[in-house]
Order: sequence, then C-alpha cells, then structure tokens
Amino acid sequence: MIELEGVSYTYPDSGGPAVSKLNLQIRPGEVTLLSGANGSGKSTLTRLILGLLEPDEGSIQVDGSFDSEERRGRIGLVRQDPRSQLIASLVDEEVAFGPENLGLPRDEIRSRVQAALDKVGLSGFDDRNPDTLSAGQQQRLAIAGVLAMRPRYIIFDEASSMLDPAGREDFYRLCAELAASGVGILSISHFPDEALRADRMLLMDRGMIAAQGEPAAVFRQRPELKRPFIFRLSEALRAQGIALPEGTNTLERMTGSLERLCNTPGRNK
Amino acid sequence: MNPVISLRGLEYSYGKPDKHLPEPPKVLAGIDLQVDGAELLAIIGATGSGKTTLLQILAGLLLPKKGEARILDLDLANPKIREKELDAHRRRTVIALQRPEEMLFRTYVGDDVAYGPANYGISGRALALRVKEAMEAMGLSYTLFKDRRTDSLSGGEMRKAALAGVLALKPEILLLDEPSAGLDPPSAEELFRRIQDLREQGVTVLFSTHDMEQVMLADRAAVFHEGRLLAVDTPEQLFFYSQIPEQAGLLPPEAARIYRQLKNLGVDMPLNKTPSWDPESLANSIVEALT
Amino acid sequence: MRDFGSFGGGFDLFRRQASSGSLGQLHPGVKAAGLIVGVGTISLINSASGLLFILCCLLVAAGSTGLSAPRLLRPLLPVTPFLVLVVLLHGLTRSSSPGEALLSRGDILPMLIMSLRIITLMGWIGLSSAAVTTPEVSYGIEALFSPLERFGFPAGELGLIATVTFRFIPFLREESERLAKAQTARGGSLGFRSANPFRRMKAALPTMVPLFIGTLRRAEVLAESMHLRGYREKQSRIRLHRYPVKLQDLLWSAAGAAVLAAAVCMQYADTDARLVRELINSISSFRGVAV
Repeated sequence: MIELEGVSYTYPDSGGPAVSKLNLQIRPGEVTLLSGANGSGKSTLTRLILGLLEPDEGSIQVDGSFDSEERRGRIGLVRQDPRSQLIASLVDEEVAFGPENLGLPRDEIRSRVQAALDKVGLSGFDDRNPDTLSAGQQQRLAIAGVLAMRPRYIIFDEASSMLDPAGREDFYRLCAELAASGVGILSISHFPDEALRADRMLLMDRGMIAAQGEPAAVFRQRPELKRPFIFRLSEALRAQGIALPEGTNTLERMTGSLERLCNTPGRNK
Repeated sequence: MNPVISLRGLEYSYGKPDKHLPEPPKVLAGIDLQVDGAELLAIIGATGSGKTTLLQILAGLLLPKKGEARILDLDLANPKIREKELDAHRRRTVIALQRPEEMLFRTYVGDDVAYGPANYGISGRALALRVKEAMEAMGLSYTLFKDRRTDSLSGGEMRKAALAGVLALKPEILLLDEPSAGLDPPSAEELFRRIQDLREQGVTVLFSTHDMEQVMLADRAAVFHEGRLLAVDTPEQLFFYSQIPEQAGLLPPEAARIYRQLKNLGVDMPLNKTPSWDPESLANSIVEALT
Repeated sequence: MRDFGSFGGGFDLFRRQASSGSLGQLHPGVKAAGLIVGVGTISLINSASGLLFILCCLLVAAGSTGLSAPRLLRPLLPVTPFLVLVVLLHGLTRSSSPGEALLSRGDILPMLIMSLRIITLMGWIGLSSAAVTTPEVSYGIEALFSPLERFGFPAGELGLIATVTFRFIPFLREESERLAKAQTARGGSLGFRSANPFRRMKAALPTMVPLFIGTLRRAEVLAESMHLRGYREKQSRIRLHRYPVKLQDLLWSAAGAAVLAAAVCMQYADTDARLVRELINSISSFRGVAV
C-alpha cells in the first residue's frame, strides 16, 4: 500500500503550499482515480509519491518503506505524451531499457520484454520503429516499458488524454486487467466516465483532498462535479421510481437493466 | 445562401511522387463539403482520418493536390494561385493548431497576442484595441494579463492567451484543431461558451474534436473516415438515426446508444419529442415509454 | 508554391533498405568503425587518384550488395546544389596574386580533388546509411569504444547519446514544422519573403525560441523518465541484443582498410603528378604523330 500521512509541500519562491496535510492510501489490486482542476496539486502529489520531491512535513511510505529510492523502484510512471517517454528506435529495445538498467541477465531481459509486449497486445512488434506506431500503440509501448520493470504500482498521469475514445476504451480495459493481476493503479484523469470504472476516487481541490471514497459516493457528495452521463441517468431514473440495481454505472449494465425492465410482464408493448 | 466554404473532389497526399512511389497514399480523397456563413461545424473522426489535414488546407497551410476548394471566393486549389492571394486568405481564415500554448514565443502576453495583427500592418492604438478585445473575448483581463510573462501563466491561461492571439486577427472563418484537448471539464465548457459567442457574432467556426458532447453543440457534424467524408448532418440525425459514426470507428454519445438500444428492444420512445442527450429528459422519455 | 507538405525533406539516412545484402549483416561495430574511419580518411586525403580509387571500390562494393549508384546517392541529393557552389567558390578563391586569371590551370586539380572528395564522401555515407539502421549506429558506437571503458571512457553513455539523438530528430522536424505553420497562420510568413535578409532572419526568430524551449523541456521529461526507469550513470548494462563477430566482419574490415591504405599510398607516391605527366606526354606524342 502507498500511504501518505499529513503530507505538505510548498515550492520554493511560491505563495503558498502546493499540497497540505494529505492523507491517502493507494492499494494494490485497485484502480484509484485522482481528479481535480488544473493547479489543484495533482502533479505535486505524483512527484511526492515518486520521491522526486521530499515533503516538508508528513510521511510517505510504500509497502512499509520510507526510502525514496526504494519507492521509485516499485512505482512506474506513464505520462500523457507517449512520445516524450520513448528512448529507442526499436520496440524491443525500448521495453528492454528498464530491465537493462536493473542489470538483469540477458535471458531474463528477453523474457520480460516478451511478457510486457504480450500484456499490452504488441507481441510481434519487436523490430518495429516506434515512429511507425499509432498514438494508441505508442502509449501501449510506453506502458510495456514500465511493466517490464515489474512495478507494484503504476501512476498514469493523464495517460489517456491524447487518445481518441476507442483508444481510451482499450486503455481502461488494460488498467482493469493490471489491477486484477495485483498492481495498484493511480490514474489522474479529467474524464468523468473513467470515474465509474475506478474502485476509488480522490478529489483534490487547492492542494487538499476534498473528497475520497467510492466514485458514486464522491459524486453524491460533490454535486458541482461534472458527472458521468450514466450516473446522471441512473439518478434521474431512480428519482422517477424506476428500481435500478446498485452499481448500474456502465453502459452495458444500464442497457442490461433497461432490457430486463422492458421484458417484465405487465408492460404494454 | 452562398456557402463561405465550398469543397469539391478535394484531394491531398503528402510527399512528391517519384519513380519508387508513383502514387503517394491519399490522406484526403473525394471531399465534397459546403459550409454556410456563421455555421458551427464539428469535424469528427478517428485519429488519422484526415481532420487536421483538412483544417490545415482550409487555413492555406497546405495546398490541395486535386479538386476545388473555394473559400470566401478564392479557390485554393488553383495551381496558379499567387502568394499575395494566400496571404490575404490567411488573414480572413485563421487556424489554431493543436496545443497552441506550446507555440507562444513572446515574453509578454500582450506582445504575443499582438503578433498576428501587427504582421498585417495594424499598429498603435488600433493594435492595442485589437489585443484588448481578443483577450477579453477569451476571458483574460487585458489590464491584468497584458504585461504578464507568458511562462508565468497556468496551462489553461496559456491556452486562452494562444487563442486570443488567433482571435486578434478578427477572422471571418475560425478553424480550431481539438481546442479543448487536455483542458479540464470546466475550462472546456467555458471555451465552448466563448466559441458559441463568436458564432453569434457571425464568425464561421469549424472545430475538430473527440468529445461527442461538444459535437452536440454544433449545427452540423462532418464525419471523416480514412480520408473520406462519410456524411455531414445534424448531430441528432447522425447519432440517433444512423450508423455512420460507428462506421467511422466513433462511439456515439451514451444517450444515443441507449436510445437506439431501447428502440431495438421494441420500446416505443415518444415520437413527438426529438431525442435529447440530456440524461434527465432521457429518463423522462424512458419512464414514459415503459408505462 | 510554398506548401508545408514536404517540410524537412525526409530524413532518410540510416534506414536500412532490404537489399543491403552482405554489408547489412556485418557487426555494427565494424560498420561504425568503417563509417568513421572512411569519412576521416576521405576528408583528409589530397590525392585525386586516391579518391577516385576509393570511389570505384565503393561502387563495386555497393554493386555487390545490390545497390546501384543512383539509389546510393539519393538520400544526399537535396544538398547537391549547395556543394556545387562550394566547389566553384573554392576554385575561384584560390588565386593568390591579383595578376592571375580568376580560374587558372593550377586551380583545376584542386577543384577536381574537392569534387571527388564530396562525391566519394556522399557515396561512403550513402553506403553506410543503406547498410546501417539507427539502433545499430548506437550499438556500434558503444561496441567500438567499449574497450576504452576500462580507462573511464563512457562508451555506454555515448551509445545512449546516439540513441536519444535519433529519437529527437523526428521531434525537431515536427516541432519546427508546427511552429512554422503557427507563425504562418498568424501572418508570420510575410517576414520570410522580405528582400531584407535581416528581416528574414528576424522572421525566423519566433520559431527558434519555442523550439529551443520545447526541446529542453522534452529533454528534461525524457531524463526524468529514464531515471524513473532505473537508469543511473556509470553503470555497465548488459544489452538485449548481441552481435557475434563473424569471419565476414574480418574480411570486410581488411578489405576496407586495404582500400583506404592504398589511397593514402597513392597520395604519398604522388600518383596524381605522375598521371598528369603521363597524360601530357601521351597527348603531345599523339599530336606529334598527327603532325
């Protein structure tokens, strides 16, 4: 678990704290969504977790360790612009970069590269030049590069914002799979519909955690947030007396519930 | 009414043909499109479908290889077109590229916004007025921001400054390539309110986007797929009554998908109302239909 | 007509084509060494016959791996007019005393040498470029200098520098294209066509600052990403790819060294002067016969 207790940080030469008294946890096997306006402290939080900044007060621990070097070894980062993270001119070299730095033997490197490429759906792309890949594929390549390090946690810093909706769907699916295999995911994102696929949601406002918990609960707590369409629809339907099962927060579940409602006897067709 | 933009059989490909590549791949082919004055048109399609290329052609940055491209009485596809005509064109049809804030280069905001009109000979008090109007149109206070350093602004403010630089040219046609990409929802909404204001003032606005909710705000949407224009129609027609967005690899807004799903299930959605993407009214329609 | 469609000309160096045959199979270290030593030798040699010899061997080697001369030289074509100008200037500016004609007989040989030098360099680089891929360049540099690592020479770092440089080239090209388009869209191209060269340079300045800043920012992001992926300086890294040294590596190295050595010998044996004397003798004896 990544745990922050009472963490505050102020950038030198700035007016006030970028983040203050943060208390939060990120658990393995869960997808945690971090949301908030630009300037609310999300990137500062990321840098603190990664050990790129040392908190002015409070503590950060990852799986029991307070050491920032060790922290970094367990947490991977995938950024918004895939191309800004790519180093090599060959897909397999790109993914191998991390393991090479870990000083692993050649066979180990090779098997990790294969496993990572398989996981993101890029097997067989080994000798392609990253420039020839689409944006979605490049993003997956960046993710593979991080996966090859076998991190326990991955931070996605608005990693889906440069993708088109189809690419985003693939991305959400990958996050869910990674979480299912035990990785703890922190995804920073504006997209309301991503909230519904997360297990937990953190809302930041002016450097503080304004709300945290299950996404549905957070949306109910904070009516000013832009809510996902399905969420609004289920609330509106429930308000009109339609009984929807708890957790109807994806399109598939909504259409499934509606289908069942249509097929109940006693309805005029 | 005379269309301000009239494209017929427009084609574009990158690269020059040579004996190893006699036919460079076409990025755009067979585009026929008419746009009326003061229309708000959304350009949608998967990444790589040709949206950016189209906008850059309309802006006069790329020249069509074939076909006809009449914009405000100038045919950009005319092989004998002169540099002067292109300059004049670019004064009236201005584009804001993707992530425009990355291209700010003057130290102070006011100077950067002034760059465009200054290039066309506007100076002195008239220039200051242009800058002021453009900045305020984007919600940046002239007095507070004109002497701010461009690198001291937040991301959202930088984007506003960059767009003000484009607006300062007072274009008749405004082209926006993914104007709200990367902005948080409140900023994106604010941006679109301002875009609609511009439309009220008679500016023709074309914008490309991946956000289907923004498409709903447009008068019409042009659907691109692999360099071809599949259809141009109102968002309602495209999303509620056709499969064309799916053919282009796009996901219609959830409201449309639910609406169609229900229709497939045989639910009689009320006919007198045009379908709405507003979840509350959709809920009303559903409840009405089910009882 | 200026169109941004073919901006940058297409960076074609070091993209290995399928038909590079036996040369393409060589160990990257050999290729890297061949490139560096060859370019060095050709640049320093001052013998027309030597250069001609190298050129002929080059064409033979290229032919043997399936590359015809035109294909070889194509990537360097855009630079040709510039090079012709250089040769001409070289000849014209060589005259030492004011009484001499602008272009005298004594200038011909140096001009010939310079032209041969340029053509041979182009050919050598073209051949290397056809036989080497970008990752091989980095690996080759690393392999070449790795024996020096025990003396503290950062061979691994050098290879990485090459890798990252290649990564930045497309970025630079795209960014400058984007910036140029953004400037043009706001009327900036007007300065580019001014008669006054200072105005022209001034017009190009707006693209420099954001390009520089953008590149630095990108480099910073990349450095941070590398650090987060475990990269630490001064550590030896086992690389994924491994290239065994084969017999053909030794053979081609020996052949290459022999060709370059022979050319150097020709310079010291003053072959040029001898050939010219032979030529003059045979012409005068021919004349003598005719008369």
